[in-house]
Amino acid sequence: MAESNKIPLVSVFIMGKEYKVPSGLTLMKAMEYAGYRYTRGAGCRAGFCGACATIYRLKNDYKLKSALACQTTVDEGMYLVQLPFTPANKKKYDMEKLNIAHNALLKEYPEIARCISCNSCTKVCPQELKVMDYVQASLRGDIEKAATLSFDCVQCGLCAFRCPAEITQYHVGQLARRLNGKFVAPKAAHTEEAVAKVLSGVIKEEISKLKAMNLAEIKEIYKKRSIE
Amino acid sequence: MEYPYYPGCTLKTTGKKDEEAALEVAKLLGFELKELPTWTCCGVVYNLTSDVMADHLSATRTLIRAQEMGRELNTNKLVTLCSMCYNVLKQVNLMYKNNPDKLYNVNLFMDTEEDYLGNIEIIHFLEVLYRDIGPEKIKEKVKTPLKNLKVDPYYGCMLLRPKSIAFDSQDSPHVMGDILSALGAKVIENPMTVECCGAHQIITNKEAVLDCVQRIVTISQSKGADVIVTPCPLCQYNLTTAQKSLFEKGKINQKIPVIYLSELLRISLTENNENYLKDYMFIKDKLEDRGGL
Amino acid sequence: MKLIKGYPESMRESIEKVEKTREKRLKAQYKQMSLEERDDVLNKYHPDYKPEVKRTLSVGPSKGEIVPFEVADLIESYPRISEKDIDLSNIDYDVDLLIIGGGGAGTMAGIWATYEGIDPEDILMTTKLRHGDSNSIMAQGGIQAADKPNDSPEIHYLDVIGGGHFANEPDLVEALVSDGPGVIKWFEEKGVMFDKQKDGTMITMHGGGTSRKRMHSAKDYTGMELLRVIRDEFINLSIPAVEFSPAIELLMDDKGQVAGAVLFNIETHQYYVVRAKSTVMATGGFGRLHIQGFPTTNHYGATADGLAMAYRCGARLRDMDSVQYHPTGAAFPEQIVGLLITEKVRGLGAQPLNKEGEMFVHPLEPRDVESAAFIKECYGAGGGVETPTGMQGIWLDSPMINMIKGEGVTERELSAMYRMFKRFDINMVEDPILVFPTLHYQNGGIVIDANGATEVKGLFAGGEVTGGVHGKNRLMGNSLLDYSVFGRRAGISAARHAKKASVGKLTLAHVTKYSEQLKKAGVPESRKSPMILPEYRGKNVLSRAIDIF
Ligand SMILES: Cc1cc2nc3c(=O)[nH]c(=O)nc-3n(C[C@H](O)[C@H](O)[C@H](O)COP(=O)(O)OP(=O)(O)OC[C@H]3O[C@@H](n4cnc5c(N)ncnc54)[C@H](O)[C@@H]3O)c2cc1C
Ligand code: SF4
Ligand code: SF4
Ligand code: FES
Repeated sequence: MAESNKIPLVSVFIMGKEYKVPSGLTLMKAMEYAGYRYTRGAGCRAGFCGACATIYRLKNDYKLKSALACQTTVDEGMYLVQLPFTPANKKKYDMEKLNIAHNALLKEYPEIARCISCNSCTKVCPQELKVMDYVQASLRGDIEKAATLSFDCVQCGLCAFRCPAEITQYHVGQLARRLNGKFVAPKAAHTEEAVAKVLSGVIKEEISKLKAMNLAEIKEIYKKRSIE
Repeated sequence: MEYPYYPGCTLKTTGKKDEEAALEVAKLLGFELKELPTWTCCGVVYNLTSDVMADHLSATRTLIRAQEMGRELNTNKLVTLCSMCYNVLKQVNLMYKNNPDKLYNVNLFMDTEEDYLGNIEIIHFLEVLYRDIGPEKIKEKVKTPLKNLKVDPYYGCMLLRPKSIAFDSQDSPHVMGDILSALGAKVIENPMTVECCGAHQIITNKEAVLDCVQRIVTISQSKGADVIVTPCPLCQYNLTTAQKSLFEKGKINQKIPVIYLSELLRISLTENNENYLKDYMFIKDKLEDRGGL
Repeated sequence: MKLIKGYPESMRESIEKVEKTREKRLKAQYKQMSLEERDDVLNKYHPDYKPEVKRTLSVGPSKGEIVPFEVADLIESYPRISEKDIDLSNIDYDVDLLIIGGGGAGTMAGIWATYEGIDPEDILMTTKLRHGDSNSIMAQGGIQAADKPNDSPEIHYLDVIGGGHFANEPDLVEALVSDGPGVIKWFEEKGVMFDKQKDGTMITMHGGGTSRKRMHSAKDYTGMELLRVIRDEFINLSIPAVEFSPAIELLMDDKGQVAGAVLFNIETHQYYVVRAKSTVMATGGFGRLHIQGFPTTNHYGATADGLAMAYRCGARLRDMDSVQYHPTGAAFPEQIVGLLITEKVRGLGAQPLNKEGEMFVHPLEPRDVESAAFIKECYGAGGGVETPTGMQGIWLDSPMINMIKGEGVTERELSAMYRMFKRFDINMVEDPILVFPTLHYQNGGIVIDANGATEVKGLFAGGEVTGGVHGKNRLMGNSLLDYSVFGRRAGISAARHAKKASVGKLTLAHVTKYSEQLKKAGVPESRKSPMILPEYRGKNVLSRAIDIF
């Protein structure tokens, strides 16, 4: 924790209430410094889980901004609130029964046809993804594009909050990626072969030889193993 | 000549082949359609009754994309292959031209995009063929004349309505007929040519769709047409699928093929068109029957 | 403080030196250490090799084992509840299978128990935060599996054993490496977007201590991609999950079996009683114990609750004396200190350098060796780069990546890293990034067999909470594989057990008994576990907090 007597303080308004916190903290650490103990709103603390979705405004700026609280530094005069939960229905589907026809995504999430291209989702995305573009790609059945454009999504839910068409973009992206991984991307033949090799039992034999060795023997083999 | 090109959803899904053919036809005629690097849905319907800005955002965004690409290609045109997209984009565009304050407001709202200046001109593929290339030039490029093929040019309701966006006569359009004649085909006149095929009612009122289609195809057949040609991929799809139902229900006793304009053009503008004819055996048959090939 | 593209003047001077030596280094290779040299640097500099930071456990099934103070304090702690607080006659959830922990291992266990024929309605997963808030979602670099033509599970076996300093449990290693190819295939079928070549061949890389390139990745979001997919699958299977309700104690029955758990709703503070025929412990690791005050890469809930709870039921622990420090935690800027810089950064060609821009260690020694070498350079050789807050660090010359691998590779394959530094105005394509070892992984844990069964009847475990798979040191990419293999095996074994097991009368007597042992050993009563969540509130606030509400 930063030493508050040396580091200049800034004012932040947590849900409208003013606190002075050391500059240079992340929003998450600033809230903790101010005395909040997280139960919701913090998961990985490193920008990977999307638990800490936060929206804020700066003084004299009409823009509504967004951030991951664990990955953003506090700024003087920030007004912030966390939105750690998004009510959103995830469709349940059996991957084995799906296909990649042009309406595959539309069938599970028909509401994507309601997208009015307002771009609010793209503007709010803390990962700076082209959310509108992946929704539009989903709409026209371009699964690969929807999958790649949405790949870095941490499923924070902010886009779904902002969407006037009430789409839950990140669930659509999730399905697009799974369809892409399963049906669009080429299969790895060598993995298939390696599995067959294990099933054949030869591996078990080789490993039991290693398991039978004493410490000195196995150390020797380890040292001599070739590195490719 | 390079044109910024807006595909729209249909051309990427049920109309994939139509797009492929159009891109090739363009090459054969010496121009190129360059797809906008990113684009959104056209907006699907131009909402006449509501004046909500949100309904026009999608189209406006496309206009801005066209403006950006137009700067590179040094043109203010944007080409569509789909009559629906054409209709929506052109109407939204026109609205801005007539109401500068609406343009001002939408630019204010889309503050992360460059301003739309209102200068884009939306044109349909058919217009490019007719205006920029011309029937004469097309005629010169014909490799397989469609001699004896009786074609019924069907415009549908999106291309020439309302009057403010029409580029041909609403009562007796001739643009498509002229082009088809240039290919050597026999053009038939069908009074239903600008009537609605019903596509937009497909969810709410299937029966109404079937009625529309029945009227169109019955007249077409009674006039002896071999094929209906359309510049609208939605009509193409709807006319084809609705005929299946009509046939199953016994409401028509014969189905007439419906083809998107670019596919027919490609057949006619290429020499080795066996591959393209494969999907349209009826054309081949007709041509051969009457000694056309 | 004035920053030039994210760095203060003082650090910029050192960056200039890095730039000067880059040309020459692009062609140079630093040699790997011999086993003797490795031992030497480990003994002198690895934080784990200092005897004064550990003590012997004085009670319980692993009495006599040496563990870090922080772990000993957690294990030798009084439970948060006592028998009289909890009404066991009122059962809130009566299930075949209870899964504790919503990370990779727990999710796999649920899926595979369902495949094994348990009705999803008879399963309950409970997790501390949200389903997926875990170490699993944070993994970046990749997952190992021997599925390439020049590789084979027995080669993988050797790497695992050698990396673990030959202390691993052979049966567990065998299971780990043999299941590897099958795991990758299963993930592929479920729709994981692995990095692949056009023909479908997996793009695989080296990790520290590997003898073949067998690290499969999904950009530098490997853990996120795997977890997103299995969580999606888990939800599709309609397996019930309760979030924000950590287990705070295991329940046993009068036959001495583990028979469920007491959960605590951290929002309403209500407790729930779960009776289960089988229980799977999948609570992950202990990074948030901040061993020796180190910052950590781990998620907020990585507080080793599972160790404490299982220990009270009689589950033995092993290899808890060894702690994994990841050589490359972020050391600058302050906001992200301790967060992981994936090993893939070195895998793709970035060299570690001292403040003069010189190489001093091979980039891909095993993690403990690499960490020790960094600490030696900073605190033994005076070669560390100092940050404005007085921290020492080592440069990772990230601009080399695009120079070697081509334009855009960093941005594409390390998009999480690139984005993280960009958020703090540092462009890792142009400038090097500063790192220092960070607390990363719990090498040891609960003793299990190759089926994921613990030594206590009714209790199964998989993932980071267990010990033996990785011996004294885990290699990168083997713990995603670990949770996939043993989460699955634990789920299947637990399902089979549940089909024939019957639960007797529920009891917390084991907790009472354990408390008595602690009292006898003189453990101060203020010490309580499980920890559930670490305390990070400001000191000012805590010193004036009153509990009246
Ligand atoms: C930053 C980072 C990067 C990594 N990179 C890699 C890599 O590239 N390759 C690799 O192989 N490994 C990597 N690892 C290690 C690997 O991710 C983990 O070891 C592995 O995912 C652990 O899986 P798990 O399911 O056992 O535990 P976790 O995924 O941590 O899941 C444990 C779950 O249990 C929950 N829990 C904890 N206590 C309780 C309780 N009392 N009651 C209920 N629930 C509870 C937690 O909240 C969490 O949801 C990395 C780890 C980190 C932190
Ligand atoms: S796409 Fe939506 S859910 Fe995903 S990171 Fe962006 S805002 Fe969050
Ligand atoms: S916020 Fe909703 S309506 Fe607006 S562009 Fe995004 S998906 Fe479309
Ligand atoms: S806490 Fe996980 S992204 Fe911020």
